[in-house]
Amino acid sequence: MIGHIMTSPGEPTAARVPAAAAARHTGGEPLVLLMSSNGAGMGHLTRLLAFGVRLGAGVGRYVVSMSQAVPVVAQYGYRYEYLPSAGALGMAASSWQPLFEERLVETIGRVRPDVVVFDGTHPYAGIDVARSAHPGARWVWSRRGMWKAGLNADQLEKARWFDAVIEPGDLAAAYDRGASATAPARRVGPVTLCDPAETVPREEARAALGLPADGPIGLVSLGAGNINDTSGDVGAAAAGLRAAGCGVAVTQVEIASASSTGGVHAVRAYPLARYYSAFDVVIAAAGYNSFHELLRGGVPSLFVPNRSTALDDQEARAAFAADRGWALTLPHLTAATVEDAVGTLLADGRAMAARAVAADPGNGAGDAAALLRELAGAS
Amino acid sequence: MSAAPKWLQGVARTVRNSPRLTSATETVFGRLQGNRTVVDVATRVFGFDLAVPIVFLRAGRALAGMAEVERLPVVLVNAAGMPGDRLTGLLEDLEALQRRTRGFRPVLLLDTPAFAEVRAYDWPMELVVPAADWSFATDWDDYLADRVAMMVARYRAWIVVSARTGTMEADGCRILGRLEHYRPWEARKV
Repeated sequence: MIGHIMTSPGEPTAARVPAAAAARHTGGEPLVLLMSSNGAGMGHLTRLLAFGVRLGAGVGRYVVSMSQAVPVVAQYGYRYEYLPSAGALGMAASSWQPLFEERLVETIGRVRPDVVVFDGTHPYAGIDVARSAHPGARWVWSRRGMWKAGLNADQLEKARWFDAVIEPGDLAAAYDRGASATAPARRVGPVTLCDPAETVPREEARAALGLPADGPIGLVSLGAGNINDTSGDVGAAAAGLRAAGCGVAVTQVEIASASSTGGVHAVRAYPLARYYSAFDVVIAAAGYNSFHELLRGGVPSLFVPNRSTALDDQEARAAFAADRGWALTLPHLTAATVEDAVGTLLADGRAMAARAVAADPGNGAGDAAALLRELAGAS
Repeated sequence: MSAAPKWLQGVARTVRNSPRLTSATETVFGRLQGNRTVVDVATRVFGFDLAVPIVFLRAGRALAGMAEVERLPVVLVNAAGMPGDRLTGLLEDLEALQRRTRGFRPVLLLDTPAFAEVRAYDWPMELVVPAADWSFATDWDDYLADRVAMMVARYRAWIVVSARTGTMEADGCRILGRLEHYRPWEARKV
């Protein structure tokens, strides 16, 4: 069972981005190049899209990404290029860096953006070279916080490569013990691609995702895993949901098709946040985007922090939400603990998430986009 | 590929992030690389046969478990502009050739974002802007040629095989096939 839909928030694509605006300077309007590093999931790309869709009329957008998910930006009418990461190539960092630098210099020279926004926690060597080679552009570092304590502090010095640093806010910022927490930056509210107003009604969401119209359904979004192995998180989540009387949906087709019992729904949509109303509970990692999309959307959530991230302190983020009574968190899952947690969330989850909604200062993507427009010289 | 020990990663990071140390390191390494005796000793000690450059790169699922794949020639398969309906056949042919010869590692150049299809074979790929979408001041053919040149340099490609029509050109395909027998990278210096 696979439901697959690709949609974009806001206005229809054709109205939002004239075709000429996505290409370089053919219309003479300012151009913002959105550049994402590669990471787990689509966080970097999604944050950049959150800025892009709010840039408004009269500004062109162009995307350069190290994520192989980059074709999703085409649904917004943006042109894109792919720059492979060292990880995707299996290449040593010392061999990849000159490739990155050469490619970036060529791309910036050809596209000639007015503003370049880099979203990532590790600005790669070569950005400084590209900037020197093409001094006409203004450079912005979009740098989310919640770094693991004691890590990556040496990267902060690279703020000097940029004209501005934007820090997308974090609802859990009070638990941020990372090196970036006190570093200078233009801090905006938590950034999500979708606003709650864009969430489609539950019935419509269920239909769009190919889910049954009736009955509670829980979504498991924990990355790779064996759904038949209840000693692992994915399998335990599925077993616990079933025990609590919920249907099971997952975000990866491979996981659903591997189910020995069947009846697991694979849902694919981008951005999925628009369809969270389809679910009664979501079991997810506590990455920046999922965390804020779920809480901002008022979705009953069980966070299972991914502790194998290089830098993102998901444990702190999940702990904050649990301590505030916004959501539940578990470090590991068993069928029994999931059944118990899902029971709690089915009963109280909406009220819990509502507390997070009440504490939400609003989407910071608009403020960030306003800064980018200003730097681009857009009227 | 085994990861470097943490202390070595830390040293490398420190050097990379310090312009002064980076400059000093480049000077030292440059002098070592320019010293015929040092290079000769290193070649013998590490068993390098410079007929094929050693490059760490994804090798493909067909070579899973094969030792020292970093010694295999890297082959750039330029499929930019190929008809989309020929991709599946090209990938199948390429894997069959790689599986038979166990003698090369392809890097694909495409103009369509067939990431999932190529990822299934565990090969690296690059993407160029399609000619139909080209709106820049420079000539698209020059852009493509520049990209091929960059890839040859950065991946240290041993040969470029064109597959722009949807099938690998005959001469290139024949050369790849001969790598089943001609294997200079397996020669040892010590």
